[in-house]
Amino acid sequence: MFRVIGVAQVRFGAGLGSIVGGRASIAHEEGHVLAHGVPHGLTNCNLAVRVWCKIIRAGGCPVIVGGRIVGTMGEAATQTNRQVELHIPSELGWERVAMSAASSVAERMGFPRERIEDIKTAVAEATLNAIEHGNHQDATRKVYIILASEEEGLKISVLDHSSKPFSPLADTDRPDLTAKLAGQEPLRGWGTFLINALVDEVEYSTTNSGNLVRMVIHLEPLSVPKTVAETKRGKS
Amino acid sequence: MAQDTQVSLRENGGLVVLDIRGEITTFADAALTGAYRTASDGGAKSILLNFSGVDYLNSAGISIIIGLLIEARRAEQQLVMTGLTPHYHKIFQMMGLAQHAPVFETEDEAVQFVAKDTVVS
Repeated sequence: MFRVIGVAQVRFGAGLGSIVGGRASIAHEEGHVLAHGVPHGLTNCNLAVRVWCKIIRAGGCPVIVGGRIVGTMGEAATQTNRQVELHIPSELGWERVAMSAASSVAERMGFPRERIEDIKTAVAEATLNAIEHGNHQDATRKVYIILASEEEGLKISVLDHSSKPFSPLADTDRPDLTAKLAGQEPLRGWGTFLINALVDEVEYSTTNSGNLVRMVIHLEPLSVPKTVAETKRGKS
Repeated sequence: MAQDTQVSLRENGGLVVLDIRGEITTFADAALTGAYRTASDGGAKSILLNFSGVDYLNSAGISIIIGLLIEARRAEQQLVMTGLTPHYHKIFQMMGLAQHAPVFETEDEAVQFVAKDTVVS
């Protein structure tokens, strides 16, 4: 998807620092520069480029992906090998391609069937939001999806090209079905509720390129200890 | 990349059954709402949505179902559902939708429920 065009010094913009001696996969698309990741130590990505990929620094230095330290160079290389990237058209129906890919990756990782269904729905809804609300169904704009198989679980990122930051529902918010049935609220508006309910971690952010949804689904659901605790509370 | 949605109507007991096949997305609105109104115009008092032929249902499709539920309430009809996969059944419960439109494991259970409800009322 990204054509590697250099292993060299990569500058991200005046006053924002640079990586010297690092390596980056960069490519030009739609007038932007794509570069994997965020340079080490640079967390404020007010860059003149689209930043959403990976930067690997030599010598076992920490690698930062999406603003987080995720490992050293060797680990990052392994992660790269277990990462699927998709660019899909902003047309309704194409979210099923993302669903299929996510299902395949999750199956390979050993997720149980019912969790794979959760993943498919979460990916579909995040992609739908990107297609409809982010890219306004403009077929010339792509939705970028990364499916990363990692030790922690399946990490999914969905990026659109919206110039407006979105304001997704907080974890605790739930659409009011009674109000919808009474005609007091629009019928739509379930997407982020489903995402929040079906994945273990979700983070919504706005980048210079658009809105980004990051989701994590653990191989061993965190809900297990919670259920035990709830059971104990129920007995007391 | 729109996919076809087919809806056919038949009667079973006191129910008019809408057998839905394909996807329930925003593209299903005309087929689903049209079939529902055909049943309604024919005097149906209880309508069963049979999802057993549905392989994909998204939030836009769920909104269409909520729209049907609104129409059913206005017309004082009963809307019931069957054929949901465990995953979509879970989602309907999470949303609270199953509280407003009962979900049954089998069509026979839905028929019995409606028959019982008719006798009681």
